[in-house]
Amino acid sequence: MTGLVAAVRFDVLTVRPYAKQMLLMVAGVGWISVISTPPSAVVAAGSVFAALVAAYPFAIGDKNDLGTLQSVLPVARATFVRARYLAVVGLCAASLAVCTVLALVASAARDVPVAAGELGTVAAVGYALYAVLVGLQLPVYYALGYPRGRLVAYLPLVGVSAAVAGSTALLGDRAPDLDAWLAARPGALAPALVVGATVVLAGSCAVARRLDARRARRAG
Amino acid sequence: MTGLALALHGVTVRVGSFALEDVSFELPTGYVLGLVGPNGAGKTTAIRTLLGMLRPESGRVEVLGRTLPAPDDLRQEIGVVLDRPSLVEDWRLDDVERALRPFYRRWDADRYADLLAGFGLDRRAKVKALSRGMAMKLQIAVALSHDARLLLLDEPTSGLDPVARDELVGILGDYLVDEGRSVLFSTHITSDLERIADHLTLLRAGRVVRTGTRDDLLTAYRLVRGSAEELPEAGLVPLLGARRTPVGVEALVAADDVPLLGPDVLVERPTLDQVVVHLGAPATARTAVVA
Repeated sequence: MTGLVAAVRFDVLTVRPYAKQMLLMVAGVGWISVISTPPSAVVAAGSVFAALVAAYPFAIGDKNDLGTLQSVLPVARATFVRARYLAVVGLCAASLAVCTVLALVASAARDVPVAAGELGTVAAVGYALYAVLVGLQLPVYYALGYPRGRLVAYLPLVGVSAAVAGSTALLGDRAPDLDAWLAARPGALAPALVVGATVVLAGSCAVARRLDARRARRAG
Repeated sequence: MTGLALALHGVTVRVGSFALEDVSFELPTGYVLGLVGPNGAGKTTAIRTLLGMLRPESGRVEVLGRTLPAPDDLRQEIGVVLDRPSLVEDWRLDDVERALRPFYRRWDADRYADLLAGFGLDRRAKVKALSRGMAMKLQIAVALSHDARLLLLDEPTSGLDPVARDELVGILGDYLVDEGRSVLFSTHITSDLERIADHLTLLRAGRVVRTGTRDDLLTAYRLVRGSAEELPEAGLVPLLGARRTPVGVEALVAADDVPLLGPDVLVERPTLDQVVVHLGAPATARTAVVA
């Protein structure tokens, strides 16, 4: 087993004892699937819940001093960072799968048909939303550690949102018309979202590796 | 067996306000090095430096023939027991193996099972349910289960009852049957070292007070007892770690200085514990006693 696979497995096993706590999230998503209109909206909503769960390994690691354990295991720190990102992508995939099933069940129960294309697009939106939330959150934990990082983890998201809102307001009519762009390319939205989200996560991972290395140098 | 399992050469490491200063010691392959000293002497800092967790400001660190920083794969060869376990508290002992085994090419599941059974640890127990001594045993089981060539044990007997400490010494003895294996064992329980350590390094306030073989350390000093009048004046013979007792003064002196002492001074071979107590005492207590 390679170090990367071992590290991903380590992350999964780290959160596994706390799976029952995550059932609360699943229950929340289940409830949304009952009330959401259209039923497919639960797929995107699930991504927001999953982004909250993505912080669990940091919280558990901080509580149990797993950083020390990782530093004596025969794997580079950077490998643990990459593994954490792979694990959170896996978490998103699991969330999308569960929520898609919930959407289909809700659709059948409420006799509201859902098209496969619609589900695919919503899943891509969910993945993109998750990538932004996680991609902005995780580097903060690597830079500051979980105890300090959790207090400011969403500041980058607030900053980016404010920057987007501000630039849209400033540009006014000169702002790019995304609706028109998408209307001209009906099949482009989902692939664009998936590619964009993956780029965001890859970039976030690269930044997180640097921040983690810097934090380790300061600690040592 | 030739070569060094580990060596520090003039290493200075700072951790907050504490520093290891110009520390040098070495462990020949195939032997046990006892790292002794009072709390805060720098034993844990030295071990963390050997693990590459702390980077020296100056000096050179060698582990298993490699100068640090070395490739991460070198840690395949190192078993580690730290002063407190770093494991998910809700893991069962089976989960500990599931989580750690994939990292090690030579993980021996049977050995892990045997060690847990030998230590009386229930595989279904959770880490958080273990006492301090039990948690230490779990760390020792992990450290011995991946066929490491070097064990770095930071206070492994801390929290263990005498029977368990005896078991550990026996296990380390078995481990050392293979000549290519070496152990660094930090402790302040010197009776453990009397039984197993071949070499000793005594640390005090971040500096090496003495390093060498155990026999050299024990023969280098004598314990002297006498009244303040019987013992020599300050400066003539350094009285190391001098302290008043109900019947006079007790101190350590260099064995070479014994002929300079008066005839009424009682001279004995010290135990390791006495050497550590006197050499590990604060510097202010290492000069001659004022009558």
